[in-house]
Amino acid sequence: MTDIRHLLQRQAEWQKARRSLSWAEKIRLVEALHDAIRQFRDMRTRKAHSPLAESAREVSLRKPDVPPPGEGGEEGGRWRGSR
Amino acid sequence: MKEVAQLLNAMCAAGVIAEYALFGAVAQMRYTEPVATLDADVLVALPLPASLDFLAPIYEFCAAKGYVPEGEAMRVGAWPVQFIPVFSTLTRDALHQADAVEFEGVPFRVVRADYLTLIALSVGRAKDFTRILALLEAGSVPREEIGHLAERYGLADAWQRFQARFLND
Repeated sequence: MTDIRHLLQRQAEWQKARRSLSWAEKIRLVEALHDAIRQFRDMRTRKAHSPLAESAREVSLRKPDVPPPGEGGEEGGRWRGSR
Repeated sequence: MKEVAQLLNAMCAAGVIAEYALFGAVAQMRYTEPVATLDADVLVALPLPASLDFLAPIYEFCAAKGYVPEGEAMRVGAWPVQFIPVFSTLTRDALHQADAVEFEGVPFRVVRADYLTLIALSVGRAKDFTRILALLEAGSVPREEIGHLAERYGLADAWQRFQARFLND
């Protein structure tokens, strides 16, 4: 418990130290955060449109030709071939 | 943010807006630790009485400079900037009494801590209450002063409720 209290105390001091940064420095920190978010979004967009993602999407949208093992395929079985 | 300051000063010089002042989270950061915020809020006074499309001259000015809208805001460099016309006596006074500061050598007008607190109190969302607490904790504004201002702007009850909920032991 004492360790946790010390940890929180150190964290509070560290946060107070950030308060003493200049306004311009604080804004630059937030702008760096904006850049990181943009890069993350770009990365997600690129991934979503990559050839690998396209082929994965095609596979997932394609109707399976073969029933999953153990589920039959004949009339009356649980598998109907449309997912 | 320097680009935002330059754009706002240019808007004033061109008479598109009569006055402006940055407020919200970015203004709050003058006093508190950095806050993760995605956009910059700017209070503006328009030179003419507000019409239905009061933001049109602002958007036209920005478009002529090559800026593009992004949802409710205008993208200026790293910042989506939201323009909010003064909507009450409180916001008008906040604008008139804003601090004139400099950001990387560019003049910039920013709403003072006491008015940031009052505006947050008047809006009253959870994140506004957090803002008030942060400003108080930073010692940027004395509680008594907020009490006086709250009375002046008809927010005495809201201030009482806020104190009862968050400040009284």
